Amino acid sequence: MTDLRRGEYPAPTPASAAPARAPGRPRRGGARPELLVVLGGGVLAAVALLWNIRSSPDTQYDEVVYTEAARQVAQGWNLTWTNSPMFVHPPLSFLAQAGWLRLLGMGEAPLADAILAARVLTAVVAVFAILLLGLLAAYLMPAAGRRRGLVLVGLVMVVAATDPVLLRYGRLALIEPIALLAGMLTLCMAIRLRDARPLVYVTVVGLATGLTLLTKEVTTFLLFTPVVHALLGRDRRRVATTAGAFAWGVGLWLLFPLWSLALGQTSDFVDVKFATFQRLLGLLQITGWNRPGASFVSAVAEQLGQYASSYLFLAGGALALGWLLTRAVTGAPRWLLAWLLTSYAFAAYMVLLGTLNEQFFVYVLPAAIVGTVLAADAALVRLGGPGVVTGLAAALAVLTLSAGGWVRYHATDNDGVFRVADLVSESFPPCATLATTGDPDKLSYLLPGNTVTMFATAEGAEAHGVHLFVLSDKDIAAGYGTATPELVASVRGRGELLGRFESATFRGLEVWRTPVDPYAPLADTETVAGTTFVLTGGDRCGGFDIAEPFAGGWAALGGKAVVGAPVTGTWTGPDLTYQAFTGAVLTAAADGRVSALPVVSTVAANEAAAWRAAGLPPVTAPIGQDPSDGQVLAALTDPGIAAAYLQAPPGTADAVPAARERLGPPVGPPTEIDGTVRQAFAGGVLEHTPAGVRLAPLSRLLIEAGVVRPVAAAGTPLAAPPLSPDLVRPLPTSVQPFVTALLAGLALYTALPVIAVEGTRLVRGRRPRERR
Amino acid sequence: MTTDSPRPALGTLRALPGRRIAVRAAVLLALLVAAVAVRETGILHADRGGLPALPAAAAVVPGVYRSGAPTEAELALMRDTFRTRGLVAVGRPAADEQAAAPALGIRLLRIDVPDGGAPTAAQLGQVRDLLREVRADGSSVLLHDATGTGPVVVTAAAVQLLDGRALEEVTATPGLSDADRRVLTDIAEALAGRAAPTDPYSSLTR
Repeated sequence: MTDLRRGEYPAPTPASAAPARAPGRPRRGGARPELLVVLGGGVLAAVALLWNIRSSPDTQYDEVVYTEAARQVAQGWNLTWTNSPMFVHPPLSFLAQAGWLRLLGMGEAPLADAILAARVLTAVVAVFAILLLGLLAAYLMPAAGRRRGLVLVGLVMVVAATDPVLLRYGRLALIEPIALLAGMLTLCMAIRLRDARPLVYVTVVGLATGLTLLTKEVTTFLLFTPVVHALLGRDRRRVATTAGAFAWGVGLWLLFPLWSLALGQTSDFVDVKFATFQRLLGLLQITGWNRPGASFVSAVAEQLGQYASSYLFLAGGALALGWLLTRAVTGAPRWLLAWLLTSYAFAAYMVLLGTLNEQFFVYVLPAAIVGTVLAADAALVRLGGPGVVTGLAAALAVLTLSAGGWVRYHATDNDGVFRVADLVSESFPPCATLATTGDPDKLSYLLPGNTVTMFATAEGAEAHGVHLFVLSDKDIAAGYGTATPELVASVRGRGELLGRFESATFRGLEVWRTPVDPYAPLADTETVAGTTFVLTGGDRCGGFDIAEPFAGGWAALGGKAVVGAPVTGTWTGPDLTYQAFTGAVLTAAADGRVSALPVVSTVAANEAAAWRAAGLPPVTAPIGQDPSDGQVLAALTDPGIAAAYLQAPPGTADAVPAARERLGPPVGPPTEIDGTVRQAFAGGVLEHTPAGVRLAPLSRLLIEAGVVRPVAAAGTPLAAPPLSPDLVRPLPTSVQPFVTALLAGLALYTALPVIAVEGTRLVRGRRPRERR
Repeated sequence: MTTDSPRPALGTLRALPGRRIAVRAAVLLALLVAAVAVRETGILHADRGGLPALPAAAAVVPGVYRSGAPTEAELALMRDTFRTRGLVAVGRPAADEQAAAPALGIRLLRIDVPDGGAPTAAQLGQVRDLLREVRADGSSVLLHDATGTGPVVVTAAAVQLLDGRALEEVTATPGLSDADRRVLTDIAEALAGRAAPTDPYSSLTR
C-alpha cells in the first residue's frame, strides 16, 4: 500500500514498482473491485452476523445484565442492573446501547425485545469491525499486487465473518463488538498517523485510546501495540510519542473513576477495580476456565466441534508470530509482529495465569487471522505454483468448516433461555420461584417478579419450598452454578418434565417440577422470627404460618410428617380457635390446649360416599360414644398405628389419656384399603404407610363437606417470606455526571492541542497562520 | 498495494542471524516457563491455610474441621473439596442442611448442646464413632453450630482430647470459658482412666 511504503518500509522491487493504489481508491475509468471487495465483505459479514439473530446464539448472563443496564440508562440514566452503580466495566458501550434503544423507542420494551435490538446494534458494529480488519490487513501487505492484495483482504474478511468465536460474540449484545471496533479503529489510526507530528498523533490516537478504554479496559493490550512497534524499532522518539498517546488515553479514562467520585462511591469503585485487577493478575478466579474445578483443556476439547476453525487460526497466528520472530522486520511486518506479540502475550497470560474468559479470544483472533493469512501467503509464494492450489484447497476447507458451523449453530434455533422464560411466564404466576443449575440472573431479569435462585441439591431447594427447576447438563459439567449432579439426578428421578428446549450453548435446557408432599418433614418450611411458615402449592408463592398454640399441638401430634401442612390459617369460632392441616383440623381452647376436632364420625355418616371414595376406613362406633381406656387399647390392633397413636410402645396404658386428648378415641377398626392399613379416630384417620404412620388427608373433605367452615381470610395463603432478603442499600447510579464529564473531556481533548499549538506560537512571538 | 508480484504480500523478510533467533527463543521460553511455574506453584492464589471458606472455620484434628453453619451449597463444596462425608450439627440443624446432607452422601449427626453447655459422654461417644467411621477412608468431618463460636468450640476441643491431644494444649484454645475448661479436664481425666465416680464423663475411654 502506498502509505506504508514510505520511509521505513522496504523499497518496492521492480515488479511491484508500478504506481500504487490503495484498495479503496477508484481506478480511473475502470471497475471498482476494491469497492466490490468492501461491499462483498460487508454483505457477507452482515448476513453471517444478522441472520436468525433472534434465535441464536442462546442468551447468557452477561448479555442479559448488560442489556438490562443499558435499558436502565435508557429509562432513567441509571447505569446498573442491581442496586449499585456498574463499575465492573466502563460506561461507554452501555451508553451506546442505551442511545440505540432510545432511538428505536425500545427503552421501555420487555427485556427479551431489548436484547434483540441490542444484538442488532452489536452485530452491525461487528460488521464494521470486520471491514476495519480488512483495512488493517490491507495496510499490512505493502508488497502485494493489487489483485492479490484484494484477494487477501477479501479472504481476511471472509474468514473473520465466518469465524465461530467472532460470530458468536458478534451476535450477542455484549461489549466485545464495540470494544473491538474501537480498538481496531485506534490501531488503524496509529498506523495511519505513524509519521504524523507527535502532537497530532498523541491528540488523535490518544483520544481514540481513551474512548476504547472507556469501552473496555481489557483492550489495553491491543492499544499498547503502537508502543511495542516503536520498541521493536528501538526508536526512542516513537516510543515516547506512542506512550504519550497511550497516557493521553488513560487520562480520558480517568473520567470513569471521576464518575464514581461524583456519585460518592469511590471506595466501591476502588473495591471493584481492585477485584478486577486481581482477576486480571489471576489472584482472584471467579469466572472463566482458570477457576478451581474448571479445566481449560477440557473446555477447549469440548468446544472443538464449534470452534475448530478458530483454533486453526489461533494456531496459525502463533506460527506466524514464531516465523516473524526469526525475521528482520521493518515497516508493515513490524506492525504485524507487534500486533501478534501483544495479542498472544495477552492470550498466553490469560490462559496460564489470568481470568480466562472465552470472549477474550475475540481480541486475539483478528491478529491471528491476519497473521495466518499473510504467513500462509508468504509460504505459498515460496512454494510456487503447487502452493496456490494447496492454499486454495486449505482456504476452502477452513471456510467450509466455518460455514458448516454457522449453519449448525446460527442458522438453527438456539434460544432455550428465552423459551424457558416464555414457558415459565405463561405457566406460572409471577411469584413462582425457580432454581437453575447455572447462573440465575440470566433468567431472573427475563422473568420480572419471579425469583430465580440456585441450590446444590433438590432436597435443599425443596426445603425452602422450591419445586421448579431449570436444568442444563453443561452447567453441571462446567460448574457454572452451585448445583450438583445429585440435584439433576434427583429432579429427573422424581419430577415431571414440563419442557425441553434446544440450546447449543447450554446443551439443552429442561424445565422440571418435583412433587409437593405435604407430609415431607423437611420440605417447604421456613422459620420466620421463630415461627414456622409452611409453603404450599409448590411454586413458593405462599403458605400459612403455624403460630402458638397450634405450633405446640402440631408438634405434639408429630408435626408435618404426621399432621401434614396447614391448608388454612387460623380462624376463631364461639369457643375455639381453628386451623386446618392436611390430616386434621386442630382446635385450640382458651387455655391453650390443642386437639384434633372430633368430627370423623359425623362426616363419615353424613358424607358416606365421599368418605368411601377417599379410601377412608369404616367408622363403627356410634357418635358420642366414650370408650374406656381399656377399650381404646383393645381397639389398637395395628402395632404401627398403636405406637404412633400412643407415642409409646403398643399397650402402654399410661399413654392413653394424652393420646385421647390429642386425637380422640378410636372410632373404627384398623382396615386395610389398597394395601394401606387405616384406622379412624375421633379427630382423624391414622394410616400406616411404608414411610411411617400419619394422619390421612381429611381436612379438604371436611371443608368441602361444610363440616368445618373457615372464614375466607383463613383460606387465603399468606405471601411467602423472601428467599434471601435483599439487604443491599440502593446507591446512586445516575450516569448523567459521566456523560457531562465525557462531553467536557472531549471538548477539552479537542481544544487542548489547539491551545497548545497557538500558545506555543504566541510564546515564540509568531503570528497565527492566516487563513487562506 | 503494488501490481502483482511473486513477493509475499508482507514483503520479503530477511532471516535473523541464528544467535538472535536463539536469544529470542530463549527469552520466550523463559517467560513461558516462569508463567507455568507461577501457575503450578499457585503462589498467586490466596492461601487460607487449608481451611474451608466457612464462618469461623478452624482445623480441629487432621480430617476434622469446625465452623459456623454451612449453607447447603457450602456443604456440597465441602464434600467436593475437603471430602467431607460426616457432619456433626451441635444444636438444631437447618431443614435444608438436614435435607441436603443425605442427598450429598454426608452422614449427619445431631447433638443437642445448649449454649454455654458441653456435650455429654454419650454424645461424645456418638461423635467419636462417626469420626472413626468417616475418617477411615480419608474423608473429613465438619463440626458446626450456628455461629462457629458457640458450643462447637468445646465440642471440638473434646474431639481433640479424644484424638490424643494434651489437655494443656487443648485448653489453650481461644473462646473456651472456665466451665468449658472444667468439662475438658473431666474428659481428660476420664480418658486417662482417672475419673472420679462423680465425673459425668467417666464412661469415656480412649
